[in-house]
Amino acid sequence: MITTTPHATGTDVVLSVYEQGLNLRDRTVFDALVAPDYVNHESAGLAVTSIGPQNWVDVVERLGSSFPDVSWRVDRTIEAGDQVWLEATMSGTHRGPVLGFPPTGRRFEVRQVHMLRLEAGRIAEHWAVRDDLGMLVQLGLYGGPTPPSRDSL
Amino acid sequence: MSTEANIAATRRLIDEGFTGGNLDVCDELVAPVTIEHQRGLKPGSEGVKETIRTLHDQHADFRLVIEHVIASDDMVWIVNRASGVNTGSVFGRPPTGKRFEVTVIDVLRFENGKIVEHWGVPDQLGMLLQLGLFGRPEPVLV
Repeated sequence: MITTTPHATGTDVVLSVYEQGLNLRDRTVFDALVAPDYVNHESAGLAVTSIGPQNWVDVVERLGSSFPDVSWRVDRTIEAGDQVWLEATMSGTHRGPVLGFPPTGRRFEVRQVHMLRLEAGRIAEHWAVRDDLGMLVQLGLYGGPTPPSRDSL
Repeated sequence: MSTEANIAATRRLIDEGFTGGNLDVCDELVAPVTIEHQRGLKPGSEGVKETIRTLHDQHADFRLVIEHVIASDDMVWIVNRASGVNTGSVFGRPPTGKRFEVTVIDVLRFENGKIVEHWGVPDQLGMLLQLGLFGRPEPVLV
C-alpha cells in the first residue's frame, strides 16, 4: 500500500521506494512512484537494461539472487529542487553466485550514496557511488593487496 | 553561517586544498576535532592535511573537481571527479604510471563555518581497476 499523500515531498517518495519497494520487495511501490521512462545509470553493471519501474524489479531480483536478504538502511537524505540524495548502508548475506564465484555465506555491510531526480512526483533518473571494494573485501573476493587502513581516496 | 557560505568554504577546500595542495586552508575550513566516518581517513584538520599529502604523494597532477552540489541547513553534499596519474605507491604496490578518473562523494556537516563531520564514498574499486591493481583470489593448484 502506498502511503504518500499528494503533498509528499521528494524525500517521502524516495523513502517509500527504498523502504517499501526495495526492502519489502513490494513492486506496487515501483509502479506507483517510478516514471515509465525512468533511467538507471548504474544497472548496466548488473546486466540489467530495462527502464521504468521494471528496472527496480530487475535490480532487486538480480541482487537478491546473490544476496537473498539484501536491504538498504537510509541513513541520511537531502533534497533540493528536483533532486533527492541519500546515504545508505546496503547489507546482505552472500548465498548465491557473485562475479562467477560460489557463495561464501559471509555478510557484508557497505556505504553508498544514491542520487535521484524526480519529475512530477516520480523517480525519473538514478545514479550512485558505492563502496563495492568494501563489499568484495568483506566477502573475501578481493585478492589484491589489502588496503592498509590509512590508504584511501 | 549560511548555506551559501558553507558551499563557498567547501569549494575552497576542494579547489585550494585537495587540488591545489594548499594545506593552510584546512586549518581555516576544518575544525581541529571532527567526526570522520570514511574508512581509512583520520579526523580533524590534521587528518585532512594528511589525506591531501597522501593523495599528492600517490598521484601526480591530482585533481578533485566538484560536479554537483546540494546544500541545506548545516549540510553540504558534493559529487566530485577525482583524477591523477599514479606515480607513487598505492596500497603498498609500486606505482603503475596509469591515469585514473573516478567519482567521489563527500557529505559535510558545518558548524560556525567549519567542517565538523564528514561521510564519504569514493569509487575505490573503480580506481583500482583503472590502475590495474585489482586482484581476485585465484584457485591454487596443489
